[in-house]
Amino acid sequence: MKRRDILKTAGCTLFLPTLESFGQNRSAPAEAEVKRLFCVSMGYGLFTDVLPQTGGADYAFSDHMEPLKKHRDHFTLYSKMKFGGSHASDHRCFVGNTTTNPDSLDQLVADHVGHFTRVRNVAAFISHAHHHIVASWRNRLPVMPIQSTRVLFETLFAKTDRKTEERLLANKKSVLDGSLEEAKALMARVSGRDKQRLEEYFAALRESEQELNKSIEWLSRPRQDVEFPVAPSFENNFLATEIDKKRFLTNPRQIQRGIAFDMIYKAFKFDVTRVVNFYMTGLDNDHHLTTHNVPKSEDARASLTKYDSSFYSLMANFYDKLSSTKGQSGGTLMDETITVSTGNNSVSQRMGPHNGNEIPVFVAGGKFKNHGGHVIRKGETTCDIYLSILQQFGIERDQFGNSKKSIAL
Amino acid sequence: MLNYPITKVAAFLVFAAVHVSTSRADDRTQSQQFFKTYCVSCHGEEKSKGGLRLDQIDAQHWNDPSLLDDIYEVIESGEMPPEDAPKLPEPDQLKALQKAVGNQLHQLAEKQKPGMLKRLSRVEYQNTVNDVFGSDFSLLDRLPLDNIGVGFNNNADNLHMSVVDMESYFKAANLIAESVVSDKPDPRVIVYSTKDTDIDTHSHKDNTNGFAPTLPQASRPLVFATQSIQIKINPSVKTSGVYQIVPKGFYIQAKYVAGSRVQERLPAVTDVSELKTSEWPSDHSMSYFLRKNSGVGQSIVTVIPKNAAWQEFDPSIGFTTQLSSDDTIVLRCNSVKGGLQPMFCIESATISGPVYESWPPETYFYKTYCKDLDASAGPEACQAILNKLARKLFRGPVSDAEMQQFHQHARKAFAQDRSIYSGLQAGIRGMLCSPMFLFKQEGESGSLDDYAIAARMSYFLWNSLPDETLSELAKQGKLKDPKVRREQTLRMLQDARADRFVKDYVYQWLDLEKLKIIEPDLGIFTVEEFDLVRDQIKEEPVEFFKEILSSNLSLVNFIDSDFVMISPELNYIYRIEGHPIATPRKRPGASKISPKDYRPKEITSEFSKVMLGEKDRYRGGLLTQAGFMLMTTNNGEYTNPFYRGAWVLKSFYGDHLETPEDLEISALSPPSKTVTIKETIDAHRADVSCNICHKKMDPLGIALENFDVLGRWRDQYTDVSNYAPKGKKKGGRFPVDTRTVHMDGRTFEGPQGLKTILMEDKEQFSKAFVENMLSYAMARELNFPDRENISQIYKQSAETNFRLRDILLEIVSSDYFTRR
Repeated sequence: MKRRDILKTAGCTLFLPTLESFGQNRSAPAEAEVKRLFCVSMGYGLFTDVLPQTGGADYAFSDHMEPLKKHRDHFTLYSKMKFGGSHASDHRCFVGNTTTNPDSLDQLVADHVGHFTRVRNVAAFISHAHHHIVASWRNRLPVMPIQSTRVLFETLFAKTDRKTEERLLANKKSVLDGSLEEAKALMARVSGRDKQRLEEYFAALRESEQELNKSIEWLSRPRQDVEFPVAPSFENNFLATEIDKKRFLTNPRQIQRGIAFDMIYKAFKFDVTRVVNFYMTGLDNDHHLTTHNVPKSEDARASLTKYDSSFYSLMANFYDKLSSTKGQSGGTLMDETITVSTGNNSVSQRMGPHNGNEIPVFVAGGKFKNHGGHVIRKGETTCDIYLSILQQFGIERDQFGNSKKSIAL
Repeated sequence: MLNYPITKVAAFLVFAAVHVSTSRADDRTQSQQFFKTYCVSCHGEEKSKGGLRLDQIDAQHWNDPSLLDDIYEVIESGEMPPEDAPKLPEPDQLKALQKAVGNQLHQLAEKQKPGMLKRLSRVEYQNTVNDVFGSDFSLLDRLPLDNIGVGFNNNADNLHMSVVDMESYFKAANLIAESVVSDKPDPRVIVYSTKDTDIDTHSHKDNTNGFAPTLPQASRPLVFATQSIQIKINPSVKTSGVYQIVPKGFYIQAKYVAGSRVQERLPAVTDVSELKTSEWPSDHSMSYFLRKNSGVGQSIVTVIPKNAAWQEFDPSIGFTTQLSSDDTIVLRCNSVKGGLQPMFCIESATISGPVYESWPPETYFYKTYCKDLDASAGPEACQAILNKLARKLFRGPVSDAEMQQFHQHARKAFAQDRSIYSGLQAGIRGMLCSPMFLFKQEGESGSLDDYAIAARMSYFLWNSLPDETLSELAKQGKLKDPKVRREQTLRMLQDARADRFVKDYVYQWLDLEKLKIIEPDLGIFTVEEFDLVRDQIKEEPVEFFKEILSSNLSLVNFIDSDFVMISPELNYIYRIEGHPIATPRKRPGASKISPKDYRPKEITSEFSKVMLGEKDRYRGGLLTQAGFMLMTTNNGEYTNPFYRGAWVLKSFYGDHLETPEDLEISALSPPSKTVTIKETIDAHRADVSCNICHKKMDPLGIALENFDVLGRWRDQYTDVSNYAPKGKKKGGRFPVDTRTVHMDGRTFEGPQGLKTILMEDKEQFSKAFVENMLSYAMARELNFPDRENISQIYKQSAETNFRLRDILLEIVSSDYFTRR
């Protein structure tokens, strides 16, 4: 009686081929010029009325984007797009079409480059969890994100002593071996859809085994000693008043995010991981209400502009670090890293809160030719951009979500 | 793929005779012919309404049960072909098509086995672990998410497994094993200081506002506790046990200044007028039980108070600590009245422990499983304990061969650490990752064995594993007897664990989760007023369901009842005559703090059954409850008939409409002085493609316009000033117009009119209800071959006048319940 079975049946078959293809692609050609991907999405959506309204290389920069000004030549703003979902599925903004696309952008790239680093990839959500918390999807399933800076730190830079770690891995190995045996025995006894489910479990165990083997392999490699970051300070001339600074820049949640971004920067710098998906919702508990007040209140519009400005501070702070660090290829980390930052929704006076009709995407890094410009892609899908990014990583695909074509970045 | 809406309910056909008379190829050819003649003008290459194309029904589509099921249902419900179709088939042609589709569906069903291996859902996993180990882990945040589709969380069709999930299971298993059993740990001391981000204030926006910048970075206190502020500490300790927490800091003299929050939505700002440090009294320490709650690389702790949930620290300072449900210690200053006063700053907090009064500790696990355990015994001592645990965790008998590997884990760990506790940990870890634990074992044949029946009953009614009584009955082979199942169901419903079922079911059936993120606009209901009812509006539908269940009342009470289940706090909204009304309590200090930032003391008021007099008669049933009325508004600001209508349609008619994807929807404009909400809505319905869904949902919502954002009665829109355009805020009242037309043409008006309509449609409602309940009980989606069984249970329920408890008894005692 459920018409969505169609999709699900399709989904089941999708699980199996991944057995051979997951995790890595060892036969991949030479490494691409871009090496890393950072996907950042802002919940509740970005305020689109105050974004630049003229396109082209000489577009008029918005006041509240002031922190990004010095990086103007490092990024392209694509605007007025859709991602193919609705408000209810905005946490799938990096998946695009919600029903047929099994993996989010970051997961596809992690499949491709995850084997280069100790940590395949990271999905994090540093916010007040009152709505969706997931922005990364793998094999149609939501990936539970890391939700605190401390856990993020431990995941990336933990300094567990060798013995404890070996112990943990050994424990895991024996559990895994046992469960695999059990699964095999069970598999012989079941059939039909039971078997499908058991095969999923089996595949999950096999993949865990591979990850475990990788962890063992990496055990002997030296680790970078990294200190827990100190609170960052953000420069922002738009939020110049003391009261705005307190509210938006020294806001504890902003600080937490700054700390997390610093860890991500260091993870990139020391090549601990190459793919991060970072999701955040409201800067404080009024953020959501403010977006709802946008159609009816000037105060709310002014306020939302400031919220967004604090988001751009965060990004600018991150770009500062990337562009002042040398990468492996001689250029800067900025050149080697694609950062995609977007509102997972859009807010405007005319179309209301979370309308999803005018999604902006900032693509930074990678020395792309559009950089410095603003490309208005009215009514087009964000997936075109994500498809193009996948291709930059040397991933051979001609479709992602509801993409229509890849574009020259 | 198919986005067009279909009325799903009303589509049970009693399949009196389905003869497989024609061959499959014939059926397909004939159906193709039919589609070509009558359907492709709308569902073809040129037009493909609802994204459906029927010109391409090839062998693959013909073997797609979902597509066929949809076709079957739209014919059954009369939705297709539409009356205005260019070419209409004869009734017997349509019947022949339906039959052909039905035949094919049956054939497909026979090929596919009905059941599907069911993974434990998050809640089931957590309850099972807690019931086996006597623990109270809150594991939900650490376990794989359940439901990525539609339907209940226990729906097997949605419960997939991936490597990401498997990693979560490993971590959870580690955490559980190490938490329930361990060697006596060495005590340790952790100091949290200013620089340490373990002091997590991010959920509380103004922790240092107005203060911190005045102090040098290095000596900046962790927090200034002002009246509205909470500080959260996530202590990370390596082992479970009792810990002592000692905060250190100083006082200042400071003045509270109200912020200009209303316009700017700024937090209250606190201003330091005098910095006066005083020594921290050294005897201010608190003891808590901290339980390690960690996986590899993680060490987050759950805090359990040793005694009460609240511990007053020092009333003269007004400092309290609260142990919150989200694994954190919350420190709060709560009795500051405004003006110049001492406030206080924490510079560091020392956490030390664990301290044990005795060893082994007096926990459920040690008492139940390790009673006579000699800690110096050899690894074989683990075996008996692990066997005992396995029978519970795996919900049935476990053979020696199956236990082998867990014993081996234990032996290996013992050999390494020479510790029996380490052995037990290893065995438990292995069992918690085993498919026998993670999946419900329902066997290979079509019918369940006794143990699987026991588990199905307990996961249905308790959300957890069977207890001793059920297991014993399973062992004796008695659960195949419907009478025994009936008795057991009655017993199980008396048990406190049945509350898990009620809450879980009601929350999911009625989408109550949505209430978590919505609160009324401050202009409509003040913060204090909402503090009073915040928890209670979520509790009301659960209490209402409980009453109908325990008194075995009819389902029609959900549509309309002559009683309500309320508390004095809820009566602050409802004002039901003759029942006490609680009054909101002033918040200490600032009253404008967002309710989300403030946790008032939990209100523990009793719900009671209140019979409705003539004047309050309109309050009966689910429809008018404050929680639902609030949940279905635009962010608590103004009522939204779309949301309300869609909710009624889903909850009462079982028809779940999906928000169209990829559709440019502009925001519903708030009603103003000149345009009423009804006019805005009617404008929406002018578009034919919108109207397909909106004609179903809008009328149901419009009828409820007599209820404001909180479910209070209104004859006029009086709160228009809240959402009228700025500058037009003067007054503005206009009458509420609830006259409307049901999708099938019946006219009706107001909430009473809606209830009358629903009463007329009570058959549809009952069918939807039974189908929902059955799907929850079977923990899977119901498919085409289930029709006969649904219909049968529906008929039996009708005989007992749809009494709720009888329906549950009917379900559990049916033969169908014991099949896969």
